[in-house]
Amino acid sequence: MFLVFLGIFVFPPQVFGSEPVQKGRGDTSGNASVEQGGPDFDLGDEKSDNLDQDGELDREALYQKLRKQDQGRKKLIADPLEPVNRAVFKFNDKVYVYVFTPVSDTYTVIVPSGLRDKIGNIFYNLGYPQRFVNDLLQFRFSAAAKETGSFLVNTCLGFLGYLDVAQHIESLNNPSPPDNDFGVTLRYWGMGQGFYIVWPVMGPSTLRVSTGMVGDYFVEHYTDPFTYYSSWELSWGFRMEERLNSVPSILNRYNKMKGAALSPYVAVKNGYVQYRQNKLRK
Amino acid sequence: MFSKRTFLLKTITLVLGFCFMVILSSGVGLAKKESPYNATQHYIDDVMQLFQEYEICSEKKIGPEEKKALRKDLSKMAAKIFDYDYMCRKAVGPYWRVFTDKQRKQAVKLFTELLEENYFGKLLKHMQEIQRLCGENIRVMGQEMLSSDKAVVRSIIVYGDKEYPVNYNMRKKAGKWQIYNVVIEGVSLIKNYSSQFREILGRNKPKAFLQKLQDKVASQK
Repeated sequence: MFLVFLGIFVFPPQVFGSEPVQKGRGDTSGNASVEQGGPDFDLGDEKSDNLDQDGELDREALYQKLRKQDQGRKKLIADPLEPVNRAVFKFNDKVYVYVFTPVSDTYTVIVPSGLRDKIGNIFYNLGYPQRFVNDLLQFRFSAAAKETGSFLVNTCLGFLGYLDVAQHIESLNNPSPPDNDFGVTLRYWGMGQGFYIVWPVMGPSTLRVSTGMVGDYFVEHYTDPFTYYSSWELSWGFRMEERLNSVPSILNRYNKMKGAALSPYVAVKNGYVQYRQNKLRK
Repeated sequence: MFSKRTFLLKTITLVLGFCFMVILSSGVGLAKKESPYNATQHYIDDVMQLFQEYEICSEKKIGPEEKKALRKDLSKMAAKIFDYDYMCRKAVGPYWRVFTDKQRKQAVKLFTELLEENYFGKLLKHMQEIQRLCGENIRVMGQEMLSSDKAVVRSIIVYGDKEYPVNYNMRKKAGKWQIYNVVIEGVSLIKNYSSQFREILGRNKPKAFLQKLQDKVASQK
């Protein structure tokens, strides 16, 4: 009986659980690192705090000390253009509120959310050359093969990608990273993320992503069937629709972030850089 | 003498049997102690049950009075699910040491209000966003223990045509697992708030920071 008694207390409760427990940290989308995330999460040691003559905590001295320490910590990304970036951020905010919001509101009335998702699928499918080229440049041949398979299946059987048929075929699922671009390729080839840039209208970027956009533009341009078979007006109209279709969801995300933020500029910068860094982990 | 001995033996057997049952039942109790994975699954079930009670998934029109009641119920539920106190401490970071007890309490209260207003106050204004979460659209995928009282639970949220990985950092507090951070597509909520709070606290003392937080919360209402 004592054995039973001991057994219950010696074995931790988890022993009795039967839920799936996955080990390994490679595929946690940056979550495990939240806990090991270095300076952002140090709460400090209260025992070592300065006390004044009466034994009370000298908050002013401690505040100054922490401020100094905090200024010296490694930032998520350098922001040497901060004054200019902040001005562009303000300008963009006005553009989003006074131009994009009414355009987006009208577009969402004409094109309901379900259809927007489907149109988004088509554009995603037709963005295949960019992902394929970048997969090759990163020697991800398996991902390139999956991308090619998905593209062929969705184009032929899914009405140019309107339906994502490939997602039901297991061997074509989850090409990694799912949304490959030239910014990721540059990282693969050893380029650092550089500093933070806020572009007019386009919004947040980094030096590496901006450089990558130039590369992706050329791939997009030379693989665009409209470039060869039709007028530039049709090509531009096609690209405009692609951008317009993604505006409601981007605007929605931006507004949510802005609404919940105490400092919208910092919130967007941090959110964007975290998102990009997570993309590189895949 | 013999019968007395038998009686004693019987009594001892009974007492031991009783003890055995008590220990066994407490053992079953221990076995049922929740893992972070199960706790998350239960939290999702509880929220879905609440949605059912208010018939949200049946696309019924919900009046303003009902919305008010739903908001109150969601708020109560969120207080059980989320460890707001720890979330706030993490977001404020080292500056937490400078805060007085009163300031700490105020910070937690305001931070809770800010999160609640943004993450379900606004959702209630756009019911279709909640309705898109109905059904089997949240899948809990697995857990990873970081230490005996910290864990990461992974889930996938299917929203529209797309799947989003959403992970929860959990912490065991008084024997219960609670969420203290949400990571959506690799973007950590607390890291994001931490970057904002520390930037403000690097320029302003806690009193001014709390005033800013209060102004923000007031502007939301």
